[in-house]
Amino acid sequence: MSEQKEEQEVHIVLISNEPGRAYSALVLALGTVTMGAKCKLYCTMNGLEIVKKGGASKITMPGAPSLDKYLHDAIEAGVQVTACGPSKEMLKQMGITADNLEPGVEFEDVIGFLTAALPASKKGGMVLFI
Amino acid sequence: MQQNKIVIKGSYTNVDNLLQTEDSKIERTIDTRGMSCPYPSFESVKAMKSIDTEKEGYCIDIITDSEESALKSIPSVCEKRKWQFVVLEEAPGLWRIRIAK
Repeated sequence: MSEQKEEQEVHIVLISNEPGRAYSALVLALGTVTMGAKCKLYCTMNGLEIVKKGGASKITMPGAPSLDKYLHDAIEAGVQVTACGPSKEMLKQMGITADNLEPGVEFEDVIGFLTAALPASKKGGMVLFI
Repeated sequence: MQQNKIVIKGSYTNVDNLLQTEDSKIERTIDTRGMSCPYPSFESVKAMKSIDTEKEGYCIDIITDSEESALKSIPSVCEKRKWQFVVLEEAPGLWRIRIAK
């Protein structure tokens, strides 16, 4: 689902691994690519827990598949998922290294996020904080 | 097919042609019953991309038990992507959406 002919973009910042927030972020990401728009999911702080290998499978909601299905489907459908660690030490403390990120997830810092989000919002894109 | 009530049809849609599609030309049938939002629409788009749209007269059937998906989401995804669609009510709370490029 990565044709992305549309100019519209949705940039989501996920700062939590609380199921209600993490599911909402991924449902929105899947919905965005379903509508043919471009989507980026930038995970930081506790949101990093979902991109840690195996982390999303531990997040569940009654009646829904576990979050790793949503995450893998999103990545496969062209959602760009990035992981931001404010510092090496913080990532280390959270047990995150390049080797234990979910496949398809890349590191990015806040400048990288803004480099894409600022021009997107200028042309009418959405930037959401979840 | 036609004994089912047509609930909605798309603006680019030739309903008669779509409903008269032979069974052998139904490229895929996707059953989205029980799926949570936005999977019925998401899987529909995945199916749209999986079929060769150059082939004439082929369609996809989507089964859903989600009223929101049947009456709003899938129709709006089809309109946005300029696909033909017709929503049929198969039974109370169960819809079949036939779509084609």
